[in-house]
Amino acid sequence: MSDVTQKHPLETDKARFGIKKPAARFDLQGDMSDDERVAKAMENFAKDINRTTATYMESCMHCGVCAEACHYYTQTKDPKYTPVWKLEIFKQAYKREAGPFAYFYKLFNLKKEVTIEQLEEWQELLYDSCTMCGRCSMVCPMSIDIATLVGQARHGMFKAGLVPHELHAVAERAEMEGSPLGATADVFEDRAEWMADEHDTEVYINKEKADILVTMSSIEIMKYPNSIGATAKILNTLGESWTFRTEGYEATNFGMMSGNVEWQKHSTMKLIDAAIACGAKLVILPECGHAYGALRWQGAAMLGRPLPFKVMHISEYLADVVESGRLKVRKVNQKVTFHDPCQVSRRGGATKAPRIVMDALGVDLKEMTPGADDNWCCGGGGGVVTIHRADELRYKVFELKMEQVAKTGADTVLSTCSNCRQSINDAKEHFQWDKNVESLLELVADNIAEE
Amino acid sequence: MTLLEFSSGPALKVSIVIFVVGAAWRLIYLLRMKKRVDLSEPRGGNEVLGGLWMIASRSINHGPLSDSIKAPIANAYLMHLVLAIVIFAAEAHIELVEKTFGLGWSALPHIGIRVATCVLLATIAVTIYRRLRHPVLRLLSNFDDWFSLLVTGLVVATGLISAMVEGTDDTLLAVHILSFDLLLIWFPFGKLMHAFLIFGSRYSTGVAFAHKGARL
Repeated sequence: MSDVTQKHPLETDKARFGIKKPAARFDLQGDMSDDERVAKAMENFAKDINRTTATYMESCMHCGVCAEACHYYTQTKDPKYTPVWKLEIFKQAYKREAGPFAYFYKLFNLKKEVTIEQLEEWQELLYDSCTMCGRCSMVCPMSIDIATLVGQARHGMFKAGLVPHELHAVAERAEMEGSPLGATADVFEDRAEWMADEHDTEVYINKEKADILVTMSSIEIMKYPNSIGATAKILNTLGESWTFRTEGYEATNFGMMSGNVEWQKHSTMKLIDAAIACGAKLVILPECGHAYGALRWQGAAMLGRPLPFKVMHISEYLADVVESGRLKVRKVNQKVTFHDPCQVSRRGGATKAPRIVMDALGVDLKEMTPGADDNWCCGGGGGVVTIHRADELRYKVFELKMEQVAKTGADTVLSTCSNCRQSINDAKEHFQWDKNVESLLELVADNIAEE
Repeated sequence: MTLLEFSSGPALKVSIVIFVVGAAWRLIYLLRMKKRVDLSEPRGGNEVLGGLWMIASRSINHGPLSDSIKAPIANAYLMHLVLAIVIFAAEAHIELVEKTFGLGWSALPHIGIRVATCVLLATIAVTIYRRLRHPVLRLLSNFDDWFSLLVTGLVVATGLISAMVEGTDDTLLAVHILSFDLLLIWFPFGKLMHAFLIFGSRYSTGVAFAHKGARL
């Protein structure tokens, strides 16, 4: 066998012959030396170690149960996708540098120093193949919250300049322009105006005072702008005092997903400052999973004190107004299934909200199995949908979702996350899938009952 | 000093000291680390109850698992169950506790303990086999995993053998006690500490999930 055959084995069992993954692929940012990258990764990972995360690091029994809950492992059977393995080098560093027996580990070199080669190899495991969906946390016998640790590991990876290029690029764009997808304040205002016309409703922007600050995701602004009109229509029907604010309208947080805590804070503070500026008592977050986690659960930590306003995901707000009878909706005679966004349901605790809304709409809901808190991730969360080199893996993972949906017999998938919606639409195009994914928010707006 | 006197005398004492000091150091080290304060508005659940509930419920509710993992989990349960029986219901162990602490209770008949010990060895064998065969476990396994299994298996096997040939040779009993001494020495440094860490790990996640109102 020639060297080249060994180095780049041919993949001959597919319809198209080719060479699969001819070399380890990773992206680098900045011009640090290898040693600097390793030092930065470890230092910034260590910064976040607290009692809880250290206990997690100490507790893993290497039982491998988490693999069975991970869509990447179950779809590929590649052991490297075992959730806790994605943390292996950080566990190695923790034990050597920061654990209770670090002195012995270092003295006798029982745990080796992490190398640049390991960090480069782990880029794929920490970014391309983890959506931080937290399904593994639901099955771990020790209840280790692996998704939290992956987020922490990403902090180190970002500082070491070891982020997949596309994810770094959108995060940088969000930091520089205020939106990862070019939905700048001007663009947003134009599209909001367009949607006001389209939906024949008023869209308030930059009202000096309002009870509710409404936010959108860039995916909605650029790809699903009807969300703007739908939200406005509902709030106007209810006679709410609300506004968008151009200094804080965009709720996605690519700083958080890429691992840059400073950028995460900047994005969050824009929303917090906008809400405080207009005296909002409530901030409504858009149909976006990670935006919910970023402000609802991590916002106060960014501010350094409890938020001076309430935060609700749009599905929680809709459930509230529908359940209280403030918003009347027409019955919808449609068989649907519901895709739970991981960050809103499993990791956000708002699993019931969309079901209250769907119940009010009278849709024939066919739950997926497993569903609700146990639902399989769409495969696009955690920034994975931005990483093009991860497409093949993402599509492989999406096959699980297609199987789940097929079993329900529904042709329409409702969701309350525009990122899930985007990932599903992308996979739909890839597979020529005959199902549709729609927004629950838009379904409600289209079915407001006339008084 | 005979080997039996050594194993159950100075060796045991040193082992107990290492066990207590090592385990306490590992736990106190963690407890002294900075605590993350969650400033977000809780959804309303009782967080302490959430933590306690997670400690209890994760032993019953294993979440969304495929059927393929259910047999290994059952094996793990069986292993821990018979381990508890062998440790706490064997006459020799109860006598030792009674002699040391003055507290005793009824023992199971020898035959029951021997059957339980055989089952325990079988579950350890299954665990080793699975760790050798399953690609995920092969990747994850390190010295800690193998040594912890080896030491545990050694204590169990020597205990069974020394009980079966009781009264003929003290050396076998001494080897059993020496292997137990080794287990005590290793305990604080490796994965056997999960016996204590499980409470902290489960409690932390239970508190965090209860804060969010997420399913425990």
